[in-house]
Amino acid sequence: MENIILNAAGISKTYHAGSVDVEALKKSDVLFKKGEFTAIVGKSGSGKSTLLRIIGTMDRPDEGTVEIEGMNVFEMKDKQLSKFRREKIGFIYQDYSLFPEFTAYENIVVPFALDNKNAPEEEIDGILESLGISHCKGKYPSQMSGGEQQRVAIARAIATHPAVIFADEPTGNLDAESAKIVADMLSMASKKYNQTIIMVTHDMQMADHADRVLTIVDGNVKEGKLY
Amino acid sequence: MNKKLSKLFYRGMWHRKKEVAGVCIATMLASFFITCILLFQENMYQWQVAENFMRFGSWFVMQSSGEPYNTLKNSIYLDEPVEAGVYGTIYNRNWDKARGCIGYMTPEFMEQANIELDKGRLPENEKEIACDWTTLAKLGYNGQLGQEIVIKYYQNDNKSREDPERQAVYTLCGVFGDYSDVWEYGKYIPCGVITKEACEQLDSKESKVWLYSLKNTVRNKDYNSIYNELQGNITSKIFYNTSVYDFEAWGPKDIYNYIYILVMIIGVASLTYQVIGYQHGRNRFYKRIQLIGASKKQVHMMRLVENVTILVAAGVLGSFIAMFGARALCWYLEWYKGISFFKITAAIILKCILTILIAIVMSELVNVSMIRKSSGVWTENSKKKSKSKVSYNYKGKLKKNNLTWQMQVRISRSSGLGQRLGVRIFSLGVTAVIIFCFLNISNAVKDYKSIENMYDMTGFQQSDRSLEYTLPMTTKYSLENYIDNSNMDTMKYLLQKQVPLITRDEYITKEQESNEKAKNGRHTYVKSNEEVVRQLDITAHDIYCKPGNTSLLKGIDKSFLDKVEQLNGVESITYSCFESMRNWTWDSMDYEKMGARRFSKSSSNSKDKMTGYADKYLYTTYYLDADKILYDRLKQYAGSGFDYDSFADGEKIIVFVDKNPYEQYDDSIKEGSKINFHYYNVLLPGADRKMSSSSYFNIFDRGKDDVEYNFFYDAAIEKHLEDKIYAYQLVASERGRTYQSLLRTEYGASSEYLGLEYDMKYGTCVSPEAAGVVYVTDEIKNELKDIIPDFGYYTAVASKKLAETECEKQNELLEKIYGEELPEELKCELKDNTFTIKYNIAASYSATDNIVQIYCKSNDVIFTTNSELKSEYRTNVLNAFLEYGITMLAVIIINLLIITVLTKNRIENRTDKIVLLKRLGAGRSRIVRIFMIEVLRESLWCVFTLPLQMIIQFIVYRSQIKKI
Repeated sequence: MENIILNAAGISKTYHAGSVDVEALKKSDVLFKKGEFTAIVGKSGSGKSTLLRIIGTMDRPDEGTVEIEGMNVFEMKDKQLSKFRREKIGFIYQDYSLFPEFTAYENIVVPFALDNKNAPEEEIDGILESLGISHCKGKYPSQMSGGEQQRVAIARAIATHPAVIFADEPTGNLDAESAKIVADMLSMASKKYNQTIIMVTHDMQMADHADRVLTIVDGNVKEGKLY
Repeated sequence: MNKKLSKLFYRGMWHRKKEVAGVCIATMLASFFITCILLFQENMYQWQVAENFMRFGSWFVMQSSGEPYNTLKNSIYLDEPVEAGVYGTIYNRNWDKARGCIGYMTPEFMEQANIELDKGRLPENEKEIACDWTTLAKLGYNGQLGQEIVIKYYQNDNKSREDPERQAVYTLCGVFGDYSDVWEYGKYIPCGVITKEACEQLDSKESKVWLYSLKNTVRNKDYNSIYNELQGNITSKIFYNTSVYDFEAWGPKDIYNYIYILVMIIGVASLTYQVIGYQHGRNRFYKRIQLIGASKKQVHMMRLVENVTILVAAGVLGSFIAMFGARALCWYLEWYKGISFFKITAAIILKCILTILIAIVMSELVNVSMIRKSSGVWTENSKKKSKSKVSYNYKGKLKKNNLTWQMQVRISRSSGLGQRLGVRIFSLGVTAVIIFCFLNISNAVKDYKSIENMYDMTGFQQSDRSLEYTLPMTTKYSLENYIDNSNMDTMKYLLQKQVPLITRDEYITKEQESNEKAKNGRHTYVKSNEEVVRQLDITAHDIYCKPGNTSLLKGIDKSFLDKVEQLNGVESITYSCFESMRNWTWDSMDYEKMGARRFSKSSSNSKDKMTGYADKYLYTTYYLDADKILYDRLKQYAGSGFDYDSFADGEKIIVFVDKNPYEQYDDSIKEGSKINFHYYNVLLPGADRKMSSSSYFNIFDRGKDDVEYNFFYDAAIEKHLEDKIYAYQLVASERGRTYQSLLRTEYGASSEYLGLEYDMKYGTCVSPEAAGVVYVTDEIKNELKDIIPDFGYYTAVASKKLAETECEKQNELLEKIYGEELPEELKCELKDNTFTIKYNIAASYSATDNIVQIYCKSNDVIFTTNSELKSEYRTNVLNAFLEYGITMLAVIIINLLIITVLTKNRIENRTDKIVLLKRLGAGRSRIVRIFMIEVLRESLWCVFTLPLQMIIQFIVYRSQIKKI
C-alpha cells in the first residue's frame, strides 16, 4: 500500500438531464500506484471522463472520497485545493490547453509563476530536449503543429513534478504518427521522471502504451482491457 | 401561423417561462421608467396648479357689487356665477378696520372659493358665526369654539352719518382656514360668515359678490386676454384671479421633452436589446424548426409574435405598475396636502403605447436582418468558422512576480486592438459627456451661488403717511427779495431769479446778518436757542424722488409672516430696520451738488414721474445687526479709521451716494463728514395745522377722520391707553393756544419752546461719522443687493445701535416738548419694519413668490423683489440638474450596462483560459485579480465611473468564474 498515490473509494456521480437521471459512476473504487502509467478506456458515455474529472479534483462526486498522497482532496477549501493542484497535479488535454498569448517556454513556466517559484530553466530545457521540441521554446502555440503543442502541454505537466498527471484524450486531435510520439513521450516521462500518469482514451492502441488498463463499463471501473 | 402551431408555440413559451420572465422583467422596467417620467411631468404641473386653486380659489373673475352683469352671465367663457352677500366692513373694538366684511356665503360660493373649515361647522342659526383665523386675530379672539364674538360695523357701512356705530354679538361655531389675508381681493368677501337670516337682521344693506369660474370647455390658455376682453365690455371694475391664472407653473417643457426622448431612446434600446438577446438564444430553436420544414415566413411570424407578446405584455404591465404606483403616491400627497391633482392624460397613454410600438418596430427590423443573415439551413454539426491565426509578439518576459500583469496584458491584447481601442474611446467619450454635464451643472450652481445671498424679497412696513423731505436753506439775497414777494413760493422765486443756492454753512453765517430783518415777521421763520434762521424748505417730491414712507417706529406685522414662513419654498425670514423718512444734513452740504433744483416742485412743469428717479428715496438708512461678517463686507468701502467697535456702537456709518438728477455725484459729502440725522418732525401740541400736512407726524392725532393712524396713537391703542391720550390732548390744547401765538409773533414767547421747534424741524438727533463715502455704480448695487435692496440718492448703512440711540434721543426731545416724562407706552420704540425672505430651490416649483406677493399686497406691505432674477437662476439650476444630471445619469448607466455586457462576453470568450488557469492551480481570487487589472486600466479612462465599474465587474467576474 505504500506505493499507492491515489485512492478513489466509492465514487458515485449522477447527472440530471431534465427529468432523466444518468448514473455516470456507480460506487467505483480505484487505486493508482506511484510511477504507474494507467490508461482508462471505455465507450463514449461510459463515465471515463467523469472519473478523470473527479480524481483530478475538477469535479466533486455525489458520494465517495479521493485521496492523493493520503490527503482527502474534497475536504480541502478552495484555496488549499488550488495550491494542491499547483503542486500535486498536472493536466494534459485533447485541446492542448495552451495559452495562445504565451510562448512554449512561458506556457511551461506559468505553473511555477502561479506558485511564485523560479522556473528551473535548465531542467525545462532538458524536458523540451527529451520531448523533441527544443526548437519550439520561443514559439507561440499558433506557430506549432498539434503534436508539438501537445508535447509542450506534456512538458508543462511534468515540469512541476506533480504526484499525478491526468491526460484526457491527449491524442484525440492528432494524426496517428503524432499520437504515437505523444504516447511514447508519456510512457517515457512516466519512467524517466517516475510520475504517475492516468490517461483517458478511447484509442486501444494508445492504451497499449500504458502499464495498466482500466475499463469503465456502465459506470463501473474494471481491471483490464474489456473490449 | 395556424391554430395548432400557435398553441404549440405558446406552450413552448410557457415551458420556458423562467427565461421569458427574465426578458419580461427587463422590458417591464424600461416601460416603467418611461411611464414614470411622463407621469412626473404631467402631475408636477397639476400639483402646482391644484395648490394655487386650493389657496386662491378656482374662480376666474369676481364682481363685487350689484346683480350679475349680462356680459359676464352670457359670456362664452364663464359658468353661471355663484353668490355671497356682504353687509359691511367689520371693525374691531377700537373701530379699526379688520379687513373683511360680514355676510353670508352660499355652499357653491365656498366650493368655488375653496374655502374650508379648519374646525367646527358652518353657522346654523342667527346667533352663530364662522370666521377665518386672520379675522379672529384682528378682532382679538383666539378662535375657541363657543367664544362670544362682537362684530362692530357702521350702519349701512357708512361712518360719516350721525350715530352710525352698530354692533352684533355671535357665538363662534367654526373657523375657516385663512383667506381674507391670503386672497388679493379677500377684503371683498365675507370673512365673518353668518346665516342669510342673521344678515337680514343687521342694520345694513346687502351688497352681492359674484364669483365666475371658467368653463371646462375653454381651451384658450391666454387668460389675461380673456379677462381684458371681459373687462372691456364692463364699465365697473371686475377682479381677475391673477394669483391662479397668471401663474406660470414650473415645468421646463424643452427639458421634459429632452428627458422623455432620452429615456425613450434608452428604454427602446433596452427593450430591443433584451428582445434581441432573447431571440439570439432562440436561434437554435428556430433553426431546428427550419430543419423540420418551417418556411422562413413562418419563422419570421413566430419571432414577431414572440417579440410582440413579450413587449406588449411586459410593456403594458410596466406602465400599469408605474401608474398604479404613482396613483398610490399621489393619493398620499393629496391626502397630506388636502388637494386633488392626479391625472393620467390621454397623451401619457399614447406616449406609452408609442414607446412599445417603436420597440416592436425596432426589434422587427433586427429580426428581419437576423433572418436575412441566416441564409441557408443551419445544421447541428456545422462548425464555427475557425479564427484566422493571430500572431503574437510580446516583449515582456514572464517571471514569477509578473505573472498576473503579463497574463492580463496578453489576454487583454488578444481581444484585439479594435475592442481595446473601442472601450477606451467609449470611456473617454463618457468622461467627456460627464465633464460637460458637470461643468454645466456647476456653472448653473455657481451662478446661483453668486446671487444666493441676495434676498428674494424685501418688504417694508410703510408708515401711514409719507413725508416729503424738508431741509433748511435760504440766501441773503433771497431773504431781501422775499420780503417784496411774500406771496410767491420761495423756491419758485429763487429759481426764477436764478439765485445760486448755497450751502447750509454759508446760510447760517449770512442769515445771522439778517436777523434783524427776519425779526420783522414778514416771513415764516423758526428760531433756535442761539440764533434766528430763515426757514425755507427744499421739498423733495415724487417727480424726482419718492417721499419717505418708512420710519423706525412702525413695526411689521409678524403674524402674517409666520404664515409666510410655513410656505413651501421659503427658507428663512430675517428682520431689520430701515427708514426713509428721516432728513439728513452734513456740515459741508451743498444743495446745488445735491441737485436740489430738480427736487423742487417748481422746477418742473411735468407731472410725469421721472423714470429711474421717481422711485428713489432721497435718504435711506439700513440699520443692521452689526456682526463681523457685515463689518468685513463694509470694511472695503471705508477708510482706515473704520473699526468694528465704532461701527457696532453706531459712531461710524458708510454712506453711499448715487448720481443726482443731473447725473452727477455729490462730492460735498466726504469721508469723515459728520452726518446729522435729524429728528422725526412731530407736530407740536395744539398746533393748528391740519393733520393732512405731509411734513409732520402728529403725535396726538386721534386718527379717525383726517388721518387714520399714527405711530403714537397705534402704540397707545395697543396698550389700551385711550384715556391717557385724551388727557394729553387736553393739556396740549391748553398749551397750544398760547404757544401758537407766541411762536408766530415772538412776543412773550416762552424760551422753553423756541428752540424746540427748530430742533424738531432741523435739529440733529445723532451725528455719526461717515467712515466711507461710496459712489454708487451698478457693480456696487449688484455687490450689495442683499444688504441694500433699494438704494436712495443717499443711503447709509449703520448698526442697529444707532437706531436705538435715535429713538432714545427722540424720546428725550418729546419729553422736553411736553415737560414731563413720557409714560413707557408712549415712548418711541425701535421696531423691526423690514423683512427679507430667502427662498430655497423648492420655490421654483411651489409658486412661492406668487403666494408671498399676494400675502404682502393683502397686508399693505411694500416690497421689492429679486425673485424673478433669482428664480431664473434657481430654475437654471433645476433645469441643469434635470437636463445634464439625467444625461449624466443616462450616460453612466449606459456605460455600466455596456461594460457589464462586455465583461460577460469577455468571460464567455475567455472561458477556456479561465478553465486552464483553474486546472493549473490558479485560485478564483488570482484569476479575478488578473482580470481586474484589465478592468482598472480601462476604468481609468473614465475615472468618474471607476469605483462603480470596479465593483460591478468584480461582482460579475467573481460570480461568473465561480460558475466555470
